[in-house]
Amino acid sequence: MDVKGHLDLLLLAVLADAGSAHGYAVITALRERSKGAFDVPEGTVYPALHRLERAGLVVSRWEQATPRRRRVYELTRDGRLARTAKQSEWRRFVDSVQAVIGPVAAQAGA
Amino acid sequence: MTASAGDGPVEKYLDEMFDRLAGTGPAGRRMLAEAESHLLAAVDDGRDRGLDADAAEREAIERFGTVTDVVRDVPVAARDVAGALRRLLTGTWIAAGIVMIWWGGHGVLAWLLGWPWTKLLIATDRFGSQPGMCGRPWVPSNPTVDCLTQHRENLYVVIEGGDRDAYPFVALAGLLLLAAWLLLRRGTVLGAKAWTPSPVALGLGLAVPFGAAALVLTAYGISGLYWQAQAWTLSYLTAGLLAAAVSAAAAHHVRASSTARVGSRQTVG
Repeated sequence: MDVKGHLDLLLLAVLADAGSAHGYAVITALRERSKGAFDVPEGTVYPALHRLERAGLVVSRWEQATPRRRRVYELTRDGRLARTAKQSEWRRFVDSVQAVIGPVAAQAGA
Repeated sequence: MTASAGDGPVEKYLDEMFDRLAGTGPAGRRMLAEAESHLLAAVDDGRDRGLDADAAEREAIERFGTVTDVVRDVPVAARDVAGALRRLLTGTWIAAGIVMIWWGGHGVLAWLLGWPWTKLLIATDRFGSQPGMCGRPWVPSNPTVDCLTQHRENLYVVIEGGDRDAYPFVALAGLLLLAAWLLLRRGTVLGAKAWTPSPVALGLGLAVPFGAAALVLTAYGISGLYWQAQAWTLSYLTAGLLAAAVSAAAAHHVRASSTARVGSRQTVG
């Protein structure tokens, strides 16, 4: 499934629930929570995380974990606000689309 | 910790990424460090699932994505003069290919359209401005050359009287230039961000001059149409309309990339 255009919101949502997480854990969570539907090329997630950081929505630091050092990410206050706003926007969008195309039950009966 | 072998797939992948991140500065160094950390973690996971070292490394790379896909969104360093020159070189390369395709393509197209165009001129007496195109004094004195061939030979391409034989080769050379760039960017440093021209700069660099050329050439072609359908009318119209198509495509590219950029900002904002 193509997540292009929605990746930022997905990353904000994963980080909001995880608290802080390194990139590998974020990608694993994204894959597992979507039940494999969002199986994006893992390397493309890092530039997206960096972009969020440049936008002030995420902060990161190197963490000398075992067995190797990792970059750990967490949301800023602006990031949490952005996540809430984008999530509401997304739900409104889904509701509107749903209203146009009709409920699932109606489609099944058609 | 599972260190990757010095010449294993992961190491080769990271070497390629290092080359392709040229000109990206701190952002590139960080991307490379995180890529290495991620890939080694993924290899460890693969080994824990029973894969041998080589298979685990290949799986980790496959899941990570191609180097081109990954480095595409790594921003270039600010005030990078060498990077600007690299992007200028690539942009010039692409623009040269497009100009050659346009130039050669209009000649080939005008040559192909020459037959129906000449038939139309003969059938309509140059749209009523020159009756008896196949009669004297217009008919050829040489009986082996028919009226259609005679008039078609008089069709000029831009620049008037230019060497007609060169146009197909110019178009082909332009196509080869673009094909070479598309191929090389898949597997060489040309695919790196540092070598990729800005879509807006390249788009505007093509849209503006081609748009201006389209106006001039088309206007000249139309003026010839109203004045006894001159011999150069067809080629100027062809060249003008092709230039307009290139300009429109470039402008669309600029708009699309600008929209994508605004959308990206809104998503993170």
